[in-house]
Amino acid sequence: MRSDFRGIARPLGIGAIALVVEYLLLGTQQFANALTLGAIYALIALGYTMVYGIVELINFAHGDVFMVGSFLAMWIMTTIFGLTGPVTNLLNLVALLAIVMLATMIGMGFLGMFIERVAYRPLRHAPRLAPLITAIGVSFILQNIIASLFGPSPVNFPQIVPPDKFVILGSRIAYLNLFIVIMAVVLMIVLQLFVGRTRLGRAMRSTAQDREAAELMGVDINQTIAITFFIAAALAGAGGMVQGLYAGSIKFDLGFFVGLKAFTAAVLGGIGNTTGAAIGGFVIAFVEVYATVLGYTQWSEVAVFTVLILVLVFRPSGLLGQQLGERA
Amino acid sequence: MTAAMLTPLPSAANPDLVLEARNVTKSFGGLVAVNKVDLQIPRGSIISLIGPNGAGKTTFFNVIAGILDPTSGAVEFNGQQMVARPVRAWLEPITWVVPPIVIGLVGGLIYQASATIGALVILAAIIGLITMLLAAIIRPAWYRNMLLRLGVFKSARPNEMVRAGIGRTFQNIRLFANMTALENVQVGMHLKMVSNAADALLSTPRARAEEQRSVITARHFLELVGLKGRGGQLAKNLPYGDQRRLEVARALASEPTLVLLDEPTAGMNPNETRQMTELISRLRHDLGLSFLLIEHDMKVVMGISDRITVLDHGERIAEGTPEEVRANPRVIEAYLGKPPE
Amino acid sequence: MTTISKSGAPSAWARFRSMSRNHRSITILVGWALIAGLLPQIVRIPPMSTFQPESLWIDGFADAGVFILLAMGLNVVVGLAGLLDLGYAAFFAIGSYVYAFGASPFTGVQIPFWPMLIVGAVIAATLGLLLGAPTLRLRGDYLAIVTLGFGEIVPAVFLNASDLTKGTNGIGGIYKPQLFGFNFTLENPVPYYVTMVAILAVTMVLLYRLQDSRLGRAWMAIREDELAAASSGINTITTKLLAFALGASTAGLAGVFATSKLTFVGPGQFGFQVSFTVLAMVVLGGMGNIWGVATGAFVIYTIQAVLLKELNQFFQALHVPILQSIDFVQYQYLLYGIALVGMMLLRPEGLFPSSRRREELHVNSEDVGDIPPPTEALGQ
Repeated sequence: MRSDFRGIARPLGIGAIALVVEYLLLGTQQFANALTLGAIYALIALGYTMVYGIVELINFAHGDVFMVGSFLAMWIMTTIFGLTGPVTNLLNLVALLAIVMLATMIGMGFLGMFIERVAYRPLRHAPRLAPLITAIGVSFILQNIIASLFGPSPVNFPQIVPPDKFVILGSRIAYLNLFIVIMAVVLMIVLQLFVGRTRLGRAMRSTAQDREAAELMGVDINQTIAITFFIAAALAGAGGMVQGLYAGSIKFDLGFFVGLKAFTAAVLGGIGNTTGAAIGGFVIAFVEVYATVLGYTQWSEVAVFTVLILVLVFRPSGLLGQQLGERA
Repeated sequence: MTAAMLTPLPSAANPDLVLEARNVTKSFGGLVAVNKVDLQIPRGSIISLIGPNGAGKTTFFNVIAGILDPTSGAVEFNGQQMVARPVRAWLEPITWVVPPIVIGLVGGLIYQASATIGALVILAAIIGLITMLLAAIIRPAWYRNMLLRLGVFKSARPNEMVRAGIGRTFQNIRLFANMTALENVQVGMHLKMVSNAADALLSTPRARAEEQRSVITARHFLELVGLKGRGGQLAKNLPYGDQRRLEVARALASEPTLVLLDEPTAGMNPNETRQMTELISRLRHDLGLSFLLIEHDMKVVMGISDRITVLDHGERIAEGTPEEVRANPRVIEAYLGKPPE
Repeated sequence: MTTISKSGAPSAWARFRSMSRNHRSITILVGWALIAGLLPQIVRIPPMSTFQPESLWIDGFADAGVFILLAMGLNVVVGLAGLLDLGYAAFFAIGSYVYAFGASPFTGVQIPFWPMLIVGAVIAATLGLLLGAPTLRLRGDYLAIVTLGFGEIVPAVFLNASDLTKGTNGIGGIYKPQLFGFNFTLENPVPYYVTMVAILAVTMVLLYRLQDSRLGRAWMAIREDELAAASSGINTITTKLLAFALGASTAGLAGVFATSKLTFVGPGQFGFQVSFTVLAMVVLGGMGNIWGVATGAFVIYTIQAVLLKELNQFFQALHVPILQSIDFVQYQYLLYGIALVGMMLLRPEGLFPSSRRREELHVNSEDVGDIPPPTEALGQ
């Protein structure tokens, strides 16, 4: 994880170019969709990239944490607040969204920490294969717990945001899209400030750089890793909630493909690089929406996978990453 | 242990030098770890690389061993350039991906007009790609030459350095911990064995004979470094000093002409250190091997080195015979004003 | 230098071990012949025979054989070379569809079953090469995620390319094998059973030979320390690629067999669950141990195909309110997930570990163990 305040011109430039190209190709309506989807992918991709940056583990369970997050948000809305339809009072709506999101993020954060504590920490010095296999196991456990609690078929997510639209550049865009993008951007800025400006953020960066050296300098490695998992899972939880609002229904295996796409986004941006993950999320969403625009909806996953392979062939370090490909 | 086990020295373009590093620079981001370092290793000599911690010794070592690409500069081994900054490396993936895609797209267009011909063209693209892939795997030398003709230069990979005749050990021991000592040495003999997957599947007499011979040869190597009778033990169960010696045995098993030893006596007691020093001298004397050592033990360095190169902060601050280096004021300064004993 | 037994005359067991080590291929063939003969007898004995009739058992064993084959193939990739392949079912799917294209009324082609076994294996291996070539240069974790994606994409392609594959309906009526004019039928599972055992025995002989060869050593070296392996002269990329392609070819072989038996192929058969189940079989059986993995696959398949159903019926009959409503078959993947995590944390070497792997996965194992390598015995 690099501090992204230095050398911010390049990522911003790449991001701006990507957005302009996207806009020109998609038009306003689809661009808004791509932006919304990209915001969700970016939130998840950040988790992959942070965890990879600090413990060099592809957390296969991350996509499923996202899925659990959407179910938790759904449960809070329906069971605790008894919500089923749109909330028309703006103040109520904002308060509800904030409360549900905060609760989901905290809940998921603890889930992430719990997973790390139980499934990954004991294997920190084991052969590389071991934590990868437990990660897959955790992923299946989460999926099947949710499937047995909420059933294997899609579950409706309460649409508490009214389907109102506003007109911009001749296209009618739902307020929900605006909310999702703004929320994602705010979370990302908060994350950057946290990583760049706080003591814990510094501990995270130094641990990512060189764990042993950080430990010698008095950084509590276990705590730092736990916090990283907390933040990653909390972001995924926020993503899960807005995914539910955006898609309208959620399913127990939702995390699989979304996780794969978000991982592709993280690799595309340069794994370990938080800004890169965000940009990667928007690019992947663009690929997916563009495939839909061209009329190949069912091939969009194939397209994203092709992007993953091409990135690994041409630029394994990603758009903004450092050299990663080992020559050995 | 006989000299016949190790191949005789090949005749090279410049018979005096086995390895020459020119102007090697390696920087990580903004940090220059190695700055314009020259090094020459005459045939049959023992050269040492010393310097304070963080002086860039191991980075330099890794450049020579083909693990890191240098930022600039080059390494020649037996007169052939093995390592340098990659040139036009981006061209390689393009030559793999673009032609099949173009042919495939053309095939797709033809498919609209004539399904049969279109399908045949697409099939041809796939078969062509597979043939190229297999050719690159089976004939790496041919593939390398083809890339060179396209103007693509890539540094030799570690295994190619071994094939050329460079063996190495690691600073923090990297044995195959859960394989036996004997198997570790057998892995080191990988390039000296010829039986392939087909031989193994059919269990041909050639493969079985080679396997038996390799066991006997591997025992010789173990005996050479003083590990006789330890072949059946798992590498990780050996004492520390034995692990270091096993690493040397594994490096020697590839029958190199140049051996790179990264702190071969680290963590050894004086007796073990003396044995290791004697082994190195004996190998140089009996088999004409050349050595490049990174070493902290000044007694070892001053005792066996023909010449010494001193690095500090990534730069070469001195080069010469042990006596010259010992007297060099810059070296004394680098070692905190304390003259090396 | 080293002999099997240290004190006095070698025991009968030690002599048997030594003989089986020196004549491994024969031992394996004899072992499989014994298993093939005994299994049909065992299922005639009461506790087994009450579950289901003998022909269903035999049929189930032939299906279990498919998973044993898959597990043995994945063991080369995961257990020997240390590469995590999470999309193994994709190669199974490719083998299956290759046979469906080569021998079904849908394409109007009818190539005999036996050469198709090889064709399926070769095509699966080729696709393995094409997928592995760009990704095996990178760190192992990338391979895991790329194969994960590949495992989802391949069925998606078979689903979406409906002109060529009949999409979600799948291809039916696939021709069954023939041997010298003898037709395999759905009513009689014995020919499939015998064929499967023969394939398994031959595959196992070949895999053991590979494991004990120069190539097998190179795989293990890569698994232990990739950089050190490269610095010992091993071309890590091609060696890994070979392991990957070999694993893929085994899955292709299994696919051809499974399709010829089911006579139907559809994209729904190759979900991530299949890859996951096979991975669980390898991990539970003991990574790197061929017999262990085969046993693990057999046990898991039998549990999921027979035991969980029996458990359901058992609790149905008991009329216990809560247990009655639980569908145990539904929970099998949850169980696998828990088993994977539990095994990695508590017993990473698997239920039937290979002696070498046991040493490795426990990080701080103090157990020294004086295990003579097979090569030592050879040298004497």
